[in-house]
Amino acid sequence: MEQLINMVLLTLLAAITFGIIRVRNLFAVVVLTSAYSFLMASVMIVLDAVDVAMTEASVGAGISTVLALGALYLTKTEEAEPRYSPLLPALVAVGTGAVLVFGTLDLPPFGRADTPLNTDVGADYLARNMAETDIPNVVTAVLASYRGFDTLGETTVVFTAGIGVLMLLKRWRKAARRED
Amino acid sequence: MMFAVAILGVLAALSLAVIRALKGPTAFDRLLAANAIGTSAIVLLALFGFMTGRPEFLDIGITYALLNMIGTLAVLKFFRYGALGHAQDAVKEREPE
Amino acid sequence: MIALLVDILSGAALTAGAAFYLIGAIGMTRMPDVFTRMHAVSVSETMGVGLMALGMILQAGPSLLAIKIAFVVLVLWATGAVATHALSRAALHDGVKPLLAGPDGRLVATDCVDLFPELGVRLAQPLSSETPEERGTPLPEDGAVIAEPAPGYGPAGNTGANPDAEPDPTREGR
Repeated sequence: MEQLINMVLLTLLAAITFGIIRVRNLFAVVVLTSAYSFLMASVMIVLDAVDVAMTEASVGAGISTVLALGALYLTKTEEAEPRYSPLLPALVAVGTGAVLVFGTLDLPPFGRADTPLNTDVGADYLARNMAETDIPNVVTAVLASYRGFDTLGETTVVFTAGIGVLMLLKRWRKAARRED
Repeated sequence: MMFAVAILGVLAALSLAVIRALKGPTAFDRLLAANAIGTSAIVLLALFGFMTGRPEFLDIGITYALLNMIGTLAVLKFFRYGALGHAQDAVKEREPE
Repeated sequence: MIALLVDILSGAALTAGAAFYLIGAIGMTRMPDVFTRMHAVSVSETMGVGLMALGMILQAGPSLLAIKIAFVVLVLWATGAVATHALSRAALHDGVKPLLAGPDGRLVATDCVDLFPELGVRLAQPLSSETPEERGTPLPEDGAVIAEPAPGYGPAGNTGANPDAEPDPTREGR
């Protein structure tokens, strides 16, 4: 059943991706991207990565949509025709994808015990988590407690980037008004 | 078992919504389909949680419901108040197909 | 015994909900224009989601989980109605005209004013006649035959009892 759900969702993701490539109206692209994010979040949930699903939905479907709309306010709604043939970029993308797929062939099977993931610190975290931090979710404990400073740095970077984007949008909007 | 039946139904509905999102023809059709895809994702999440015996992740469903609403309303507000062109642009692009 | 009954009930609710959900989605793919599609989606967003949630609540029993499901459904019902309203309003404002069956059964793109000519009802002032090229644009649709407005459905034929009605004062100007 899980495999069936995954297959259907991934097929739909591929279909939406081709739709995004083909459609030239940028509004439609924004809407399709939001739908893509929701489907991707569903895939993440089926894969049991709940925190990634949460991030994907809130960033992809929520904030990205609003930011893309803000950018659309400043540009045209129709995508310009490409000046060069898209053949070479397509070839490069397909080649990179093939290399990546080839790389996955060497990955160990899912959940095997003797991979570095399970032989290194992972078991340590699992054993000591409750005694040391008292947080029931180990992923949350690692992110917010063991690597708290790391997460703080990431949050600062994201916050700064968000403020920068907001300031850029505001500046441009004022300039555009003055021209009118 | 019955959760599996319901999941199959929702997956079929999801596919139909994606078809509508890809076909358009106006931006509003796509928006409607995207909204339906978001709802389907929430229902799928809840049903999948029940099927695998771990329905605790339903909190995420609440987040999705609110996000879906925010996304839809943001787009609609831009259509209503922003000088962003018209959905009729989307009709034109369908003709070559 | 009770457990079996609850199982049967929740199974029936889930199956019926999934059926409603699917019916709504089929309607969204097959209906001819954006307003009828919205109408179809409302089936899946109310009955479909509601029945499936009822099935899940029956399975969850009296617990925090049941309250969470009920909350999700209430949020979906409320936001779905608001989103549909905003969507149809934005579509009308943008010049998408509803399709209506003419006297010969063909689908005709009509203005909001002409929806009920035989009743003499003016719903609102024309929502989309700001530029001339917008006014004449019919809405091409899958399977719908776009025809010239039939007699009795065009603006000229709108000889309702209230032709000079004031524009709706609650409508905000652009």
